[in-house]
Amino acid sequence: MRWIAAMRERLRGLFFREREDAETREEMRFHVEMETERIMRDRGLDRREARRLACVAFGGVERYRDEVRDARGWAWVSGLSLDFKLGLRNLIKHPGLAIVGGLGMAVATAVGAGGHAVINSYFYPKIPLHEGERIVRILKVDTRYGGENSRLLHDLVVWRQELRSVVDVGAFRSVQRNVIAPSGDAAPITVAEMTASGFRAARVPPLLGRPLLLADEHPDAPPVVVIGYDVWHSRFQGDPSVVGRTMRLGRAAHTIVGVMPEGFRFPVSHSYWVPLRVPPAERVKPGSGPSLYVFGRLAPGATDAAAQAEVAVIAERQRLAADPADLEGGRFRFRPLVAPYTDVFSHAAAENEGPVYRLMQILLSLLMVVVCLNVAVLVYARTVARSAEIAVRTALGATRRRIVGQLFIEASVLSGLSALVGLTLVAIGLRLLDQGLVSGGGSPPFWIDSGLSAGTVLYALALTLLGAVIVGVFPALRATGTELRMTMGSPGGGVAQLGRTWTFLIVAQVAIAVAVLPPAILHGGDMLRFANQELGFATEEFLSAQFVIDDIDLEGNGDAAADSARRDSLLVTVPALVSRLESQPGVVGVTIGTTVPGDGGLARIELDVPGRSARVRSTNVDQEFFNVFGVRFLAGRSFSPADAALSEDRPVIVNRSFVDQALGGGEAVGRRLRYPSDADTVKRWIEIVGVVEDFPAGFEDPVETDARVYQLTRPAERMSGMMFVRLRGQTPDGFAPTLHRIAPTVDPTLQLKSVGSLATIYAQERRTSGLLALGIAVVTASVLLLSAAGIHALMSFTVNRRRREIGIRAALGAGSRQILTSVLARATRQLAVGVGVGLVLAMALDRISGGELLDGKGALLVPVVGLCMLVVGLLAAAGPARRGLRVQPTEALRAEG
Amino acid sequence: MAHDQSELLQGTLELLVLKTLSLEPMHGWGISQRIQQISQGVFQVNQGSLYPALQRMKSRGLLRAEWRTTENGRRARYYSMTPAGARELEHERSQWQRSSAAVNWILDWSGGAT
Repeated sequence: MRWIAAMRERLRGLFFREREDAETREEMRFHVEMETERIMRDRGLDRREARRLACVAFGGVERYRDEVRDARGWAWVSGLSLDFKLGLRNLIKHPGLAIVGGLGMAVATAVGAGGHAVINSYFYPKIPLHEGERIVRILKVDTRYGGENSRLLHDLVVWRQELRSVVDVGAFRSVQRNVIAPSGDAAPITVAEMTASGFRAARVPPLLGRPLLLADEHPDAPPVVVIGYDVWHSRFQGDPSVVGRTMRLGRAAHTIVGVMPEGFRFPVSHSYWVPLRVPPAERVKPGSGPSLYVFGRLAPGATDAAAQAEVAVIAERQRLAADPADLEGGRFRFRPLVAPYTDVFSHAAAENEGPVYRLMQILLSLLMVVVCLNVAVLVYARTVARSAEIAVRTALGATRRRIVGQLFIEASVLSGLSALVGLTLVAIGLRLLDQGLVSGGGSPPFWIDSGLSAGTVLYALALTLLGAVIVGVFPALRATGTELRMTMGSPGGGVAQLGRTWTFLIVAQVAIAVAVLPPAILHGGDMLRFANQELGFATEEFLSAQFVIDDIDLEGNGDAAADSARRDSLLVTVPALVSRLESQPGVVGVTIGTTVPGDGGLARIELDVPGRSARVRSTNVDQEFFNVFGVRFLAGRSFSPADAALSEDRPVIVNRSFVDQALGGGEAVGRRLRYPSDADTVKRWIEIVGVVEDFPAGFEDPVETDARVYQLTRPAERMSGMMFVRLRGQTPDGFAPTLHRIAPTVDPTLQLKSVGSLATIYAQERRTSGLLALGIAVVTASVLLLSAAGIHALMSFTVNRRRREIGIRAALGAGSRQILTSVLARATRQLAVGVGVGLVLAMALDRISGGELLDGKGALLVPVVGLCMLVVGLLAAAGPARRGLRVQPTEALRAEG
Repeated sequence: MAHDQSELLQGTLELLVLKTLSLEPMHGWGISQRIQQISQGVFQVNQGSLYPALQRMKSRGLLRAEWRTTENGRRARYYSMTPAGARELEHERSQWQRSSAAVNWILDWSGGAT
């Protein structure tokens, strides 16, 4: 194998260079000695003369030794370490460039690689199951209003029967249950209610016992549970005979029928699986039943497109067969969609967000290009300052390629170190994200690996390489170009033309900064304001707790009478708890809602004014809510007992922002609204009976709308929600044990989570916003700093290049003001062009985003940012310009002469 | 006299080295002596230039080298030809014969015309 021999030879030359060199020396010495002896023998000369002649015949020993070294191949590799050392030394010698450039590149790498990590692991992950990429989610999206319709029980039945391109069609949902120990202690857990087909679709057999079976789905089947490996060990100490034992989940004792192997957490992050009860097909009405996620596995040979086509055909057939009255109800505005399975977590398909994430990733990575172009300007400045060194090397025979290579290696030292810092930031960020998910009560889906993946590291390496090319190669090519080499011989060496490229770069970066900074400042500011806002009410007086009553799955199993009977038995739980709490000393009031004040589900509403619709946050509160929180009414009235007595179409109350945003001011009381996407059929109009002040007063939603719709609910109707207890004379943390003591006496299956001060909940939300604001501030500061540094470098050049001209002008009696003006004129011109382009760009982007990007504040913010960039640029230019003033005419002329 | 000792053509050196080593393994000095001998001094090898050529051929897998002791007890690096080197020699030889025949033919033809 010739190439193996060749490779071995090269590697020897690389790794045993010293030894190879010594052997070459010995070989050549042998040659000269043999030749000396031959001459002595043949020509009868003495040893000294013979040796001289032998050396002449041999030629330059040093030269041939170098040629032998080159002939070994890969000689350039050994030069690399020297270049790396030189690069490191240069970084230490120019700490300003190292810090500014390094910081910028580290932030850019962190943003690019972090974006790649999050987007890929959350939106384009690989499912770690056998042929996991063939598992799909089937959903229905609302073609009229966007969003999903999740009440898919009827569709599940249809798809199971009819789909051929998707097999093992099943569904799941996550429910909360209390696991009740024999001692009576209850602990809330998350359970997957899943069809038996889930285990088939995942293709993972149980470790012990059996998976769920079709028979378990029958409404009358005895309750069974399959447990995960962790649960088997933590609760049952790995008991090998655990199958057949029972555990109490909520109200019923469930028989354990199987244990899944370690790491199995399908469908998302579950460790308990109970059967999803699917009623007989004839009892399931379209659009009824609980919210479900439907999944399946592509049949052998079937493609996504085939599955998509098939669900579309089924939907069309249903539409054609439907009653015309049904069509008007809007049920058929939902379009079925086949999406990657991970969509059960990312929910990207319904909004068609997939391409948006890819675009976002590209944009995030483009930050690296922008940053590196800035650093390249700085490096170019330094490279040209080193022109004497480059000239010497060229004179000594270094090729242009060799010099460019050396500068590339030097740049890669900077970008490599930055990548290390950037990747560390990414690793910390990913861990924080993971912790955030876990502390938020969730856990990441089984397909997400929160660590630094090999893909992310590779991506960061690619960015690093890109950075090194931009920072090292571009300036090096320009600095070693003919133009520079011509000027290099002059005594004023180090002076070079800044070509159009760099002028363009300065203009471009100012333009980008002016276009990008306003939205960043706006959103960062919103985050910061959110992080520091005063909520306008005494949050520390409130204890808040999440509550869940088991059997929230009662709704919609098809058997209305049975559901209703079971529901009735639970109606007393929450009211009983509320009245028990109200009777405690120090309790001022108790109220129930679905979310923390300020939060709420996003929904679109239509108003009875033609053509008016709005995106709002909608939340359910009980009759006492406004009273307990002390919310002021601006118009109309609060909810009355008569409202609560209505079974449906109860009136609603809206807030001031709703009136401003949805109605454009004016009278709201008496107007009517409706939720078009609430269910398959459009609901009836609901009346607005009151308007309240925005609450919490200082609360501004940094991302979504502040418009709120409060719907009335009764404690007796709530199987889950939030409970707020207003206290006087004691702290929420002091009262928490009382709540924990009372709750089980009311109902042992009542689960309480996140019990604590309302102030703590808001503080957590603020911390997240604070961190986001910090992130935006760091990126913004990097962009500004780099822009300033780039302009500074440009000006330093301009002044250097014009030393002679300045000297002559000063000698001819030009005043310092004139000189300063002329020096600054070029910078000002470039800055002005940049700001102008940036203004146009910012406005265009704002228009494309439908005004959301700048939130109507563009007219003020963009010019202010433009002005700031102008000032920053001029300040950066001022230093070199002042240096220009100090140029002595004689000195400048002598230097150039 | 200088015309008699023509510069060794680039590439020809490798052919001569291979031919020399096809007989027996040899050290660098031996190779240079043999080339001068068999070419009767026509090819004046600048002796040092032999070594980069040997290293290049070694890197290409045409030669292998090993340290041995000479007849008079000195340590020397001996080069021998690998099978790849033998193939290369055959290839180079036929190339050379073809091109030299062509050149000869052209020269003869030109002579006939004048």
